[in-house]
Amino acid sequence: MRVTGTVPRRSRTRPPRLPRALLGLGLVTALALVGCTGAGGAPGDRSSPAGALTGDVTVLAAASLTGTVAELVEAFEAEHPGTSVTVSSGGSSALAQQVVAGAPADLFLSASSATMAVVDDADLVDGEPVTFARNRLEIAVAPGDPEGVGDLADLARDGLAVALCAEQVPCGALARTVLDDAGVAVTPVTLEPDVTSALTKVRLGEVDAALVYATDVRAAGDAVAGVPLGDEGTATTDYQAALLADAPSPAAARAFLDLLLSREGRQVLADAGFVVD
Amino acid sequence: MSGVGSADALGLEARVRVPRTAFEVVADLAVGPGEVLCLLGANGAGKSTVLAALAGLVAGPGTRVQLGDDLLDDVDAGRHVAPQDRRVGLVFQDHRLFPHLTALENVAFGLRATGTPRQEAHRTAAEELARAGLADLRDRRPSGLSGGQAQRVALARALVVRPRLLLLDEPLAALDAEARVATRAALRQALAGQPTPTVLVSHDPADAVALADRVLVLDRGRVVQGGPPGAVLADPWSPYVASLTGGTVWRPERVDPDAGGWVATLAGGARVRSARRAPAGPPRVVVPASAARLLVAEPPGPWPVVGPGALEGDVVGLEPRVARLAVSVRLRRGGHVLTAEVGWGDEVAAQLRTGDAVRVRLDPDQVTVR
Amino acid sequence: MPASSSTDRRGRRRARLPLLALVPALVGLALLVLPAVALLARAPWSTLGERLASEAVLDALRVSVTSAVLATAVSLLLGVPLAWLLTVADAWARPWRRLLRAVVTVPLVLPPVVGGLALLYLLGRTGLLGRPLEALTGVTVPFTLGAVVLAQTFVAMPFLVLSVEGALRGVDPGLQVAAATLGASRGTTFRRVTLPLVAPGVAAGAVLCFARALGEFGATITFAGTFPGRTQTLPTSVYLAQQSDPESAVAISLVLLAVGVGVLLLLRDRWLTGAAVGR
Repeated sequence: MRVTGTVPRRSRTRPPRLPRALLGLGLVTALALVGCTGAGGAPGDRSSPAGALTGDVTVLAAASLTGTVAELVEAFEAEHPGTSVTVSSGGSSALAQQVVAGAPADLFLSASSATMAVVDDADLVDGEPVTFARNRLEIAVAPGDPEGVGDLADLARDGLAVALCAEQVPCGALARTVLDDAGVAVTPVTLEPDVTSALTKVRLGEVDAALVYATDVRAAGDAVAGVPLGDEGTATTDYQAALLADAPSPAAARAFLDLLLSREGRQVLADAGFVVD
Repeated sequence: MSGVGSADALGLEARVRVPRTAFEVVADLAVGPGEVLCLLGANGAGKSTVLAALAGLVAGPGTRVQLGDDLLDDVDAGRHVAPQDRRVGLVFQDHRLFPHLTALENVAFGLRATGTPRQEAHRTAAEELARAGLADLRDRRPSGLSGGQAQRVALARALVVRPRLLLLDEPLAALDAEARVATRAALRQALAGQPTPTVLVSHDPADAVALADRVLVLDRGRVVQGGPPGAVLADPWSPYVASLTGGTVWRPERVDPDAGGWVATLAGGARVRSARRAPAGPPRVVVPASAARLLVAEPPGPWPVVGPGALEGDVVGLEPRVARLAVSVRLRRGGHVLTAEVGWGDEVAAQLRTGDAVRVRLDPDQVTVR
Repeated sequence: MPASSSTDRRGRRRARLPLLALVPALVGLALLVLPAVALLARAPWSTLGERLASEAVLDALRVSVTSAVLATAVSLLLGVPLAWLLTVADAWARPWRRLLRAVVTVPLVLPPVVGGLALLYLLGRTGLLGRPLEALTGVTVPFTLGAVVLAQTFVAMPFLVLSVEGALRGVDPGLQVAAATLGASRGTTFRRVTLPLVAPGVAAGAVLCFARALGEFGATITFAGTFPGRTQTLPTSVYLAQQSDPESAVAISLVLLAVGVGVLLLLRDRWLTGAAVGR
């Protein structure tokens, strides 16, 4: 402590540790926050000296695309070793809300045009959304169809436990359309918030049947059996893809989108059961 | 008072045998109707154990408790009457009034628990409280009562159910000095003239003197002395009892008659004259604090001449007591320690320091030997 | 650094928190309060009335409150004896005692979804008990209000058990001895001494249990599914609404917030801090 004639002496009772401790606390907190949110620190695109594509791509994909997207990611990362693709799956409606709320992502793949519209209306889409596939509904039942569900009308049977998707999600909206068109009134035991949980209920044996996507039935393999809808189930939902504004890795994301729309991508989608033009 | 016909009043005969960690409690006691017996002893001597055995909360092989014609406990024969079926009233050191009930409801609790209808129980309880002078406290919760008041309500609660035996476990120990005096007086009044045999546990001899007809002294689980309170305190047989009144008791090597009195010889040769001989009990020399007169030499002068028989010793302890100073003196011959009391106003008191040499003159008329 | 104190104008001593503790305390308070403030700020105040009066919301409110009340009732019925068992277990060997306590507390640390899954595997149509149950009685548990109640009970009962256990331990055993010496049987002692003394603890536990049951989501949606009017609770309807109609989600959230705060206001300070009567 300096002591001069005119500078008043600091009171000895004030602990000198206090300001330093607060500073340390603030520094640690700031670092933690920056680390968690990653604000403004995203690496973005990098170009290696050879000009090959690099970058970390974040894709928000509807739950029903899980299998197909995984396959495409593998191919993409093999072709472009400098890239890394992270996929976040979920109900399209939930994902749309996440984008609107500011989740950092490059690409959004929705299971309906309605959910894509939510993002588009918020001016978060770079360019125009593109429809890349369509999906039909199919009835999922336990292997061997023990309850003998043959068509949509059977879903309205007394005593049959049926799971539908909630109407707020694309699968549910499509189910509503299909059932209304067929004139069938079904009283489900549950309205699931996403198609995966509806399918899971069938797999667990908790419900006898569920109206899910044809792709889900195919992806579930032997765990469930599918009952195609034939004429009644021609209604489809449009799967749309869009690059997002403020995408951290736009070049790599566009490359991935190109892969999705390419012949290779369309083949993978078709193999999974999607309707591809 | 909770006056009952004498047909309800029974005597207690008990043989208590309860093993404890360091020793076994072995106590035989008998209490007649209307009699108050006080169990005196240091902490941990086993007094509360005896009470617990009488209440039916503990028992050991050999325990036998009989109340009138009713055999409450005979452990060897496998008989045990549960505490709630004994009609034995217990008053605890910490009153243990039910905190969620008013004083009236507390007092009525035992009546209602044994089947008395609510209204009648409340009426009887109100009368009991009035009799004890606590009528204005009837609607108060225990948290709104002072220590002494709570203890008196607890006593009313125990008495209202007409117990056949009343047990009081250090009822005044938790009270401050002033409350203790007042509550002791109230207790005395409550116990006087009521026919239930009562056993009172205390470490305070004042309780014994004020409340009890007889005293039993316990030490390490055994009864070491018994009799009317005044007699026991005036003639302690053990150092513990002597300490209760501030006196001293020694064990002499021999006691011989001498010139109209007796002379007791202690180990080491010190001789104490006495004009009184106790009728019974173990060999002892009892020196009340008032019997010892301290003589201090004014250095470098000679000792004042006061006649033969003064014992030489050194001060080993000074302890202020309420109105006097207790001086512990170790005799040069034999190393025996006695307690003498000196008034505060005494010039001697002002001068004494530990280690001072003093002489002690014992008044034979106040010393008792056996 | 001990808290310093000063005297205010009326001469009462006030304790002051040292700055090093005050700042984190305020930050913590902000963390807990500001989200609710944000929710209130985003509420669609103009349309709140009609949204809340809609059938969907009223249905969800009815299901939520009914199931939470039933869950609390079941928790009381089963939890109070269980709490008593926990106190009796003091006399058991250490490993058994610890096991019992762990088992009772497990729902507190288990993610609710896992709880729901476990219930499904137990009482689902193909479950351990569910299959024989359906075979014998034709009764299925999932997708019913009963399933909602079960799921809520599973996650909320431990709160009640722990609260009641604390209250039971707070009862002075000397009072029970005193009651016995006054002639009260064990049943009378329990009824007239122990029970009134633990009542505040039981009430506090019930209120906590109700609040937790009301807010339960993961176990409910996994085990009971969600169907408007039957198994769709307020939390599940918020989750669904949030995906398509965020403003409705906020409106329903306000209902939950209001009920939650209202219920907690019923909890008096001393119940929460475990101060039993007479201590």
